[in-house]
Amino acid sequence: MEWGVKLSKPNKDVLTADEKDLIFNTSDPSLKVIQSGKYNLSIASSTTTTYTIPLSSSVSRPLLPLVNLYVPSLNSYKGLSGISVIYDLVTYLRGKFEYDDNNLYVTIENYTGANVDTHFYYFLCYA
Amino acid sequence: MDFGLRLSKSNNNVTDSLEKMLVDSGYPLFKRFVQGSGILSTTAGNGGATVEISHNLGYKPSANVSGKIPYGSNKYKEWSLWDYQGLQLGDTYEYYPDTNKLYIKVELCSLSDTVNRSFSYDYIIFYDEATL
Repeated sequence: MEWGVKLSKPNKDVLTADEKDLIFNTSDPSLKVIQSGKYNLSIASSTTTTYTIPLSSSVSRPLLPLVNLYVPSLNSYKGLSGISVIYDLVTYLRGKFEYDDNNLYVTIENYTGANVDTHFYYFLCYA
Repeated sequence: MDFGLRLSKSNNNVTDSLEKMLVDSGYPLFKRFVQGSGILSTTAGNGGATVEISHNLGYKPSANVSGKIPYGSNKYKEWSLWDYQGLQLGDTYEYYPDTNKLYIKVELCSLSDTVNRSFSYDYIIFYDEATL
């Protein structure tokens, strides 16, 4: 027995549309946010801190983490990646993220010359 | 005429704004085509290697690759970075699709291409087009 829900994009026939022309299809796993959170940070001057975020037991690879760090000196959010990126050459605050089967690791380096109060958001996506 | 399907998060009304929705059919969801994992191996002196994964969708799909970069932490990172090795040299990790394959590539600089290496990777290919 065939069953499910398909919803096509505008002007596409749901009965004949290619998968790429569907909004969703219950036959295709969709990208979902399976864990998310916000961490408030108070980072001492001239230190590197790694925040270890336990992954829920239902998580399995491949994962698509999204991590956004607030950079106070720029008054903006910066997306982190696998290597440290200097966001502000003057104040030298930078960060990166990595993960394994158990944890997400977010590392922030503070060489601004002062303590920094900031935060980051993370979204752990899975399909 | 306005039509579609909306599903709200707990304790929100289905007529609320987008960020309160679990699903809003006005916004396509990434739909997984295939996912998998493997080992990319390099031979010393060859400058790197590329893995080709066939999808045969006939268009460039969205994709994501992460892997264990075997320096430092040995944890998973997105396979899209330049890893500095010293002397202004670095290793390049990148991935890109064409209409039939996903390419997972590493280019090793002379400082790190002195021994055979193996890299674990995960990939996911979506039905959704990378370019519209």
